[in-house]
Formats: sequence, C-alpha cells, structure tokens
Amino acid sequence: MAKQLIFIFTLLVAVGVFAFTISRIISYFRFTRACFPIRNFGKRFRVMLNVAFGQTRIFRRPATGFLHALVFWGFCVILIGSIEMIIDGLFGTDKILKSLGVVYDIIMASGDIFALLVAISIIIFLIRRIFLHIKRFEGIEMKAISHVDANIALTLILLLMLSLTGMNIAYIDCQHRSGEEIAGIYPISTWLTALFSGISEEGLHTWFEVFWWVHIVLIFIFANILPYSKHFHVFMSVPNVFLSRLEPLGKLPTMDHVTREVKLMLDPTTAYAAPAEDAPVERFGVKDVEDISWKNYFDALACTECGRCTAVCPANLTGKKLSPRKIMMDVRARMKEKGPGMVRQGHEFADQKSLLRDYISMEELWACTTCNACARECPININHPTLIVDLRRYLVMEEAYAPGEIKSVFSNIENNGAPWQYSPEDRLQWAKNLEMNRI
Amino acid sequence: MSVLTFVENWDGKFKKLTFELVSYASKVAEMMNTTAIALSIGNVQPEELEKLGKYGVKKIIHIANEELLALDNQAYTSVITELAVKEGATVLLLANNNTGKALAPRLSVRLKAGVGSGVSQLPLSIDPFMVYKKVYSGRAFAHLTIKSPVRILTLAQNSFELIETPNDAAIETITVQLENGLIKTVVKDVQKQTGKILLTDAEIVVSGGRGMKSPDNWGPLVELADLLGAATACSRPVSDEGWRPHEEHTGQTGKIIAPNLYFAIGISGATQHIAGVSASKFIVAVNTDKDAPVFEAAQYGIVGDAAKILPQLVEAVREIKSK
Amino acid sequence: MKIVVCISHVPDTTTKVKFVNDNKLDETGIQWIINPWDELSLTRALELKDDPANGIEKVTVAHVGPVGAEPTIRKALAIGADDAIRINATSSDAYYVAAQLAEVLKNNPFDIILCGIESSDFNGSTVGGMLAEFLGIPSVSSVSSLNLVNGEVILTREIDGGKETVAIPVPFVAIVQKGITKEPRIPSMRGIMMARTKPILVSEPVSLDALTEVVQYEMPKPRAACKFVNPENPAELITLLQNEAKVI
Repeated sequence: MAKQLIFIFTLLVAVGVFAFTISRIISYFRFTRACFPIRNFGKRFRVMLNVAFGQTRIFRRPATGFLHALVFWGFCVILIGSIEMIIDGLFGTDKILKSLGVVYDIIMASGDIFALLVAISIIIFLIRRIFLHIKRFEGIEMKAISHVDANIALTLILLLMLSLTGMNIAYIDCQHRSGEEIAGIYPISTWLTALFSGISEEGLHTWFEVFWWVHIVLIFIFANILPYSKHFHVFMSVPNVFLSRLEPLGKLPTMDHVTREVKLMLDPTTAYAAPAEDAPVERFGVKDVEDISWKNYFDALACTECGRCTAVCPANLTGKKLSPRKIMMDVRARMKEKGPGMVRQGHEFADQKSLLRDYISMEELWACTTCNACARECPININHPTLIVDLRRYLVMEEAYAPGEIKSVFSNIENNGAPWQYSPEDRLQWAKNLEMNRI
Repeated sequence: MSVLTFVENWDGKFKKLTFELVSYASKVAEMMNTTAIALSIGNVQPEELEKLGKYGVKKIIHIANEELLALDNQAYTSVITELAVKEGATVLLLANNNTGKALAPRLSVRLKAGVGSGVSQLPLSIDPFMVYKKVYSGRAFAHLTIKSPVRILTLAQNSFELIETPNDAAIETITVQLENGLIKTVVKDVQKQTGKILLTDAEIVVSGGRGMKSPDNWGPLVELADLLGAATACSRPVSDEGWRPHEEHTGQTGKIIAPNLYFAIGISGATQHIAGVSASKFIVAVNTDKDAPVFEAAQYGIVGDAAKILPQLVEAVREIKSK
Repeated sequence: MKIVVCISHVPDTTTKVKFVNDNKLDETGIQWIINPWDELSLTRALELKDDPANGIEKVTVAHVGPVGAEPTIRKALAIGADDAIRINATSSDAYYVAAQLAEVLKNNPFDIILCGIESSDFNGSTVGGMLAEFLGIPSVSSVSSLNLVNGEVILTREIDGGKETVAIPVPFVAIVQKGITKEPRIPSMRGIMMARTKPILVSEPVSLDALTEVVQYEMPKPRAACKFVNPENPAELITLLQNEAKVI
C-alpha cells in the first residue's frame, strides 16, 4: 500500500516535470514555419521500419553500428518490461503481464539477454569516449558539456542495465528459495544467480526492492534529463524518421512567393503596378529561429551530436569551417536562447542577436557544396542542406550578400546567359569545327 | 589663335608624356598654321621649362602661385581659361591622365569647347575638326567632329612619338590673382609610390596572372622585369587574391596602359584584361592553353608552363644585356 | 544628406559591337547594363547610406535617355536607389548630357553627386567634370575612396605615382574610379520586388546643341595572327623581340 502511494507520488512528479519541459518545447514550435505536408503514410511507415527500426543508416559504420543497433533494439524490448513495472507500481500488481504466457517468456528472455548486450555495448562506448581519441566526437561545436552529457547518459544506461539484471537475479533467487514459480525466462540472470548465493532470503527481498526502485527512478530521472540532452533522440528519433522529408535529396524546395513575383513581373500589365495591399511580406529564407520550419526544429531536437554528418562532409574533411552537426546544434541552442523571450513577448521579441552571424558564420554557409552527404549519412534522416540553403537564401535574397565570385556568376547569368563572362554570340564556339546541322 | 598645351609637372620635373604632348601640340599648330604655347602651373625651374622649347613650343607660360601647387579643379580651370582666352587658343591640349581628366571637362563647359578625349593620333582634318578615338573600350574607333570654335583634346599616353623642333621658346612667369575662397580642395595627406617604375610610364611591362599558380612563383617574373627595366603588373584575380599590390592591376577596371611591350604570363586574356592593355605596341603571351583568348590579342606567344619558360627567358635577356 | 548617382546605360562588356551604315550602333541582341563605373558609384552611395551615422537621407539615380533605358534604371532601383530621374532625351554627346543633368539638378539640390570616371561605350571621361562646372560646384576626379568622417567628406584622389587624401565641402561632384568599393552590389529579391514601385521622375530636356558628333565608326583592323615560338626554345622569343619587333 505504502509502496503504491510512494510510487504514485513519484510517478506524478516525474510526469509533471516532464509535461512542463515538453510544453515549453511545444510552445517554441509555435514560432516555427510550416513546411511540407505530412502525407503518404504508407511510405512513411516503410521509411520508419527501414531507417529507425531497421537501423539501416547506423549500420553504415558496421562495428559501432551493430553495437548501437543492439542498444536500440534492447531499449525497445526492455521498454515493455518498464511499462509492466509502472503498471505494477501503480496498481500494486506483481508482474502483471505474465498472463501473456509464452509471449511473456520471450519478452523477458530477450530483455534479459539484451540487458547484458547493452551493458557490454555501453562499456565499449564509454571506453571509446573516455580513453580513445575518436575524431568524430571532436569539433569546435563539441564543448566539454557535450562530452559530459554523453558520458552521463551512457552511465545512466549502464546503471539501468545493471539494476535490471540485479532485479532479475534477485527475483529468480527469491522465487527459487521460496519455491514459487518464476514468471518469464531469464537466461542470463539465471546463470548469474551464483553472485547472490551468500545473501539471506530477506536480504534478497531487500535487494529486489532496491533494484526495482533504482531502476524505475533512474528511468524517471533519465526521461526528464533527456529533453535537455543530446539523448533526446531516444524520444525524438522514431518520430523524426516518420516525419522525414520524402523528396529526393538535392531537390530544393521552391518558394511560392518568388514564383508569384516572377509571374507578376512577366506580365506587362502588372509589371510596374504597386503590390496588392494584402500581399504578405514574408521574409525570404532563414535569418533566425522564427524563420525555420517546424521540421528544422524537430531535426535540431532529435540530433544526437553523433557527428556522422560532419565526418562525411567534403568541406569539413578539407579543412573548411562547415560542420553540418554544428548547424543543427546551433539551431537547438539558439531556440533555447530566444524561445523564452518569444513566448513572453511574441514575434516582436528581439535580443540584438541572430542565428545567422552570431551562431552560424557566412564562411560555414558558403563552404557547403549541397552534396547532401550529410543528409544521406544521418541515421535519423535529418536534412541539413535545406536549412543551409534557406540561410543562404536569406543572405542573397534579402541582403544581396554573397561572396564576390558568386555575385559575378549572378551578373554573368543575367547579362550573358552563362556563368562565365563570354559573349552570348560565342555560345557555339565549341562547335566551330564540327559538322552540325542547325535547325 | 594658338594651340595651348597644359603641362603638368611631378616634383618640378616633366616626364616623357609631357614631351609627347608638346610634340603633338606643335604638329597640330603646324597643321593649323598657328603657334604652340605651353602652360605650366607649379614650381618648375627654367632649365626644365626650356626643355619644352626643344619640342616646338614658341612660348612657355609659367604660373608659380603657391596656392596652386596642389590640384584644385575649379582653380586650375579658372586660371587655364583666363590664359586660353588671353592667348586666343582655339585648341587646348591636355594629357589623358588623372589631371587631364579632371580639367578637360570643366574647361569644356567654361569655354564652350567640345572634347575629344583619349586621341592617339593627329586630327584627321582641321576643317571640319575631326579626331580619331577609341570607343567601346577599344572594340571600335570613331571619327569625332568637334563643332565648337574652341576644341579640347586629351592625348593618350605613349601613343605619339617625340618630334624635336628646337627653337628658342620665351618663358613668361606670371602670378595670377585668385578669388577668395576659390580653392575648395584641401589636401590632407600625400602618399607617393616610391622607387619602382611607374606602371603607367613604363615602356616594358611584365604581367602575371592566375596561371602563375601562387604568389611564391613571382621571383623569375620580377627578375625578368628588373633585367628589362620594366614595371610589373598583374591581372584582376591576382590583385583580388592579394598576391600582388592593387596598383599593379591592369585591366578595364584597373590601370589602362600602353607600353611598347607587354608580357602576359599565365594570363588567359579575358576581354576586361585585354581592354586594359590592347594599346600596347606588342603583346607577348605565355600560357599552357593554346586556345586561350590572350593569343588572339598577342603578336608573339609561347604555349607552355610559365614556371619552366620564365627562367629561360631571364637567361636569354641576361645574355643579350651582357653583350 | 542626399546623394545622386549619374548612371549611363551601356552595352554589356562582352558584346561584340557592330555598326549599321558605319555610323550607328547595331542594337540587335545587345544586353544593356549599368555602366560598370556607375555601378561602383551606386554601390558606394548605398554603403554610405547603410551606416546611419553618415546621415544619408536618400540615394537618387539620374539618367539621360529614352524610355528604352528604363529597365536599366529599374535595375539601379533594385540594387537599392530610392528613386530616379530620367531626362527624356537621346544622349548625343557628353556636353549635352551634362547640361541636361545640370538643368534638373539645379532645382533639385544634392549634397554629393557621384559620376563614374568613364562610360564603357564612349570612354569620354567628361560628363562628371562638365556637370560640376555647369552647377558651379567643386569637383574631385579619380576618386578611389569616399568616406564621411565626423560630418566631413574625406576622399582619396589618385595622382600619377600615388594618392592624396583630400577634404572637400558639400555640395560637390566626385568622379569615381576603381577602388571606391570592393565589388558592385547585386539586387536582392526584396530590392527587385520594391523596384517595381519606386518612382521614376521623367522630365523633358531643354533645347541645346551638342558640341561634338560622331560621323563614322570603324572596326579595328584585324591584328596579325600570333607568332608562336617553340616552348623548347624560349630564347628565340627574346631574339625576335630584339631584332624583329625592336622593343628590347
């Protein structure tokens, strides 16, 4: 009884804090723009199964990819056990799902095996992060806090696995000693029961309760840290993949207001007319976080800072300042900075800073070749290039700001119909000595 | 009637272009059956002024007002106008350089005189007064008639030969009265380009472009220039990149030059660059690309790598200079 | 302070110029642009306006030309000029153009008048100076930089062999050359949209005779083809330059 009350209280606190954090993040979404409509559910499901559940992008780095897949799949399975623990805690039941019979056995067994596999993977990950010098984890955007964040998350997961296994071992041992039936099969824990052989039955019960509470409280704590951590991807990754941009990589979104403007200019009757009174004056491109689309912000929240994007960026590899990861982290950080102000004062809020220039520099933006290697590599289908292009669109279309060479290209296309400064009359020079029939 | 030439001085000295100007003026005066007069503003010694006589002027008016040492467009215009009217000049001649471009237009309005700028040869005819000038940045030529009774011409540098017609020129030194407050330009600072041969004065110019690959490769080019007594120049991308100083940029939006010999090393020959050097008597191009447009503008060319060819050219020049 | 930039409408730099009857430019297929030097002047004017400390109220562009030149004027407006003045006349010579501009600017005073040092069609280098003389105001030529320092206008003027820093009172005409700004500004989308509605004041010209006239055009004589020297023997080039061209 007491246990139930304490549990309900703890659950309410956890859920309450979580709801508060999430509601704040949702309020920031209100300031973002619309983008592609969410349709084509069939295709989206397939993409989700493939990329999220199948971990196909993660496997592009086979060794660590495999370990991550184990962690992810382990999480999925262990999630079921965690839900059972919450129901047990709320209603005072004991392993409520055991009525599922064989299915329950499979779930518990998988969970138990995965607990070990995940623990081993986490230890390997921690060793990599702490003792090895992995280039992908370094960069100007990777401050000390990112490393601390990663290590804390990994440690928490390890503790979760240890507490789960400990809980299972204690349970099995208890049931053995009291002669009761064991609900579910626990291959690994059964094998490890020798560890607790020297403890009394009462001691075992205590250990069980300790592990149970540690496990559930760690879950509550972890869940509440996640929105502030790179590990928010635990919640955001699957939805982010489901909500992926389905257009082919490299296809840029067209701008309706530009199409409208061009049509007006091509029509001699409207070419010099004043614009309609009600014509919306939207900003072209992205300057600050209120210009990004909801999907850009979703991407930024889901970004795990894994750095696979930056690791394949040809600009970054050749020493340029561009890091696609940094772009996503900057968006997240800037929204965290400006969001509260906008929530208080609305769109008029201005803090004399901007995503463009104060966070993301011109140099980074112009270094991008829009090759889309980053978008292709991202395990959760984040699309960096469309955001980079939107930032450039602001620079060129609002500020007429571009590196000199690019300005020349614009002028040349305008005056000579080609990116180079040659006379349009010379267009067919290349065919001078070829036998060609002019139509 | 007379042909009045305004001659500028540089620290009290005249340059080759001054004598080109004066030679031209005396020839025009001859064509018009009148006399050539030179007008100098500034601190020039009589020995220097006398040199003008060698090239055909009959009178040299020398104005030495202290206040006029620095160019003030309005003040100079007033002074030159006053003297042009006094001498009954029907043709005014200036150089087509910074000073000439500053003064010719103002004089035109003051004297209601039409301007033929950047001429490179004697007038095609005197009645009607017709001159030949480059238009469309060198892509065509125009026969320009100047209909007004007084005409102003500006002469392009290095386009007219020196012609000696020695005679005893009279030097008249005058101090003019300037109205109060006429001079509005206040010179705060002067930065002179020291040492090197002035690009616009040089008879031989050695110029490098992007084909030189890196600023570190300029050694042999500078060596060649030094041996030939030439000025160094560069194309726009090279000056934009900061490999060479901005003053060296030759081209449509840089310096327009007309040396006797122009070496274009590793320069592709884009229209804008050629526009700046097309008046050169001879252009030599070195480029790895045999189809580079520069070879259409050049009289001599070598298709090859500048890095290999420059040192050999240096050697060849060193040899002939040592003989 | 108000700035006016005088602009000229010229064929694009890569145009292969041709003439009709040897005395008129063949305009078929020509892409018209703002004279490159005027574009640089306009850019500098807008840069000055961008800094509120300079107190530039507006930038106007002025042009002498027929209605066919309006797209070029619109381009200048798209780049950022606030309004434009077009004197409806075919420009016959620099004196005529300067006189027309002076007529309009006399009644429409500006503090700083910017003119490019030459136009890529006539290469006359005269309109700016003539305009200053018509208006009776000072001019500074070969200006390679223009700044406002504590309300004073400080210019850099190129002289043969160096440069001078010069102060000049307003109103004045600056005849501007390369160096005045790093590169010309391009129109932003926003600018293009707004250019459609910015005012172009059209005024009729005063009757005036030009002082010069082009009676004939000539194409340059084709140059002799390039003489190629064997790259294995560059020394031969020097020999040719010495003995044949006689320039060394």
